[in-house]
Amino acid sequence: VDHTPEPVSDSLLNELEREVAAAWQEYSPELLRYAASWTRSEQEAQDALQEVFLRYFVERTYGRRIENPRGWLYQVLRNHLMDRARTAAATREVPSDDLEWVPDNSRDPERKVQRSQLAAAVAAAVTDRELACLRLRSEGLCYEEIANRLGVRPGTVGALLSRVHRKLRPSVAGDGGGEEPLDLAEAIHYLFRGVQTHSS
Amino acid sequence: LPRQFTICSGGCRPIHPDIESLIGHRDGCLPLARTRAIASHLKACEACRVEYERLLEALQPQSDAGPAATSLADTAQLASLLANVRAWETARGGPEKLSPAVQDRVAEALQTYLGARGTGDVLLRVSPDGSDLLSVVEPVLGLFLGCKAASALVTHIVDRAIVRI
Repeated sequence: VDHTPEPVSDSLLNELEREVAAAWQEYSPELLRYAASWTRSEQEAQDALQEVFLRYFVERTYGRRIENPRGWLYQVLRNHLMDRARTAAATREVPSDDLEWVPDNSRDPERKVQRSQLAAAVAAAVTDRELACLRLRSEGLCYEEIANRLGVRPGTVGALLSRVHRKLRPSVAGDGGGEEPLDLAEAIHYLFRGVQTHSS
Repeated sequence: LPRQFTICSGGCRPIHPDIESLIGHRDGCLPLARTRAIASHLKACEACRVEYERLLEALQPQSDAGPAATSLADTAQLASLLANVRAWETARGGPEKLSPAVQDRVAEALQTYLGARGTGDVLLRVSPDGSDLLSVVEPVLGLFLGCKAASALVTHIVDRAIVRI
């Protein structure tokens, strides 16, 4: 079966649809990268993008003037991602009465294998500088302190961590096979345990 | 006050530059005074610096996937977007007439700010198909709320009255 999508015929689109399609073609790659830096999977980032462009269409349909579409799209995307993050954080809260039912994954053998594989994969993927940066961050240091230790600008620390998180994300997000993905903090913790064990 | 907080509200708290300003700053298309203000704000504010770095990463062209694969994925996503757009258009019942339900909800949201009579007057100026609804409402709100607040309020009205169709 050929799953190649049909090319979108220009003649089928009305004026606003054409405007949205043009904005999509111009801005979606960079917006997707921006969304991906907030989310745990590319699918989530894609969904966010769909929402934001639909919103653009809706507002233009009702006559909203958007003088700077790129800035507007970024702003709405950021608000959307922040709302999603807040909702996700809220839904992960566990009532204190139910704490005894929270499973302890740390002793699960499958989880252990997963972690050691992740540690190996990440240790191979990140540079020494990124690893040093991540290690200091996981020790609780702020950007300013990490920058002082490494002798770089705080902005560089932000960029390094952002790059590391991007590299970690595919491993952390799992393969979509229904298995519960590793939490990022958990993955970082085990990454350093793995690296320390390996080097000692 | 730290001297670096040159973008201030009433001299007490820093106002963080919005994302449009950060993009403008990156593209070098802001007035010099604003560029300097944002640069010194970024030096002092870690949260904005992180956001700025995030933007820089996104705005940097990357070529992880080949052009053919990227183009195919883009076409599929665009087709999906246009399908969503048409589904929304179908759900709202066609473009010919502004639905009374939407009109009522917009009126309800506006009454808090314009009063019943003011809301009625403003909505009378909207065309029957509603295609100028937001462009009629926003400038009126902007007259006494300012552009930024009016824009935020219109976004709120869209959330409450339009998107949930």
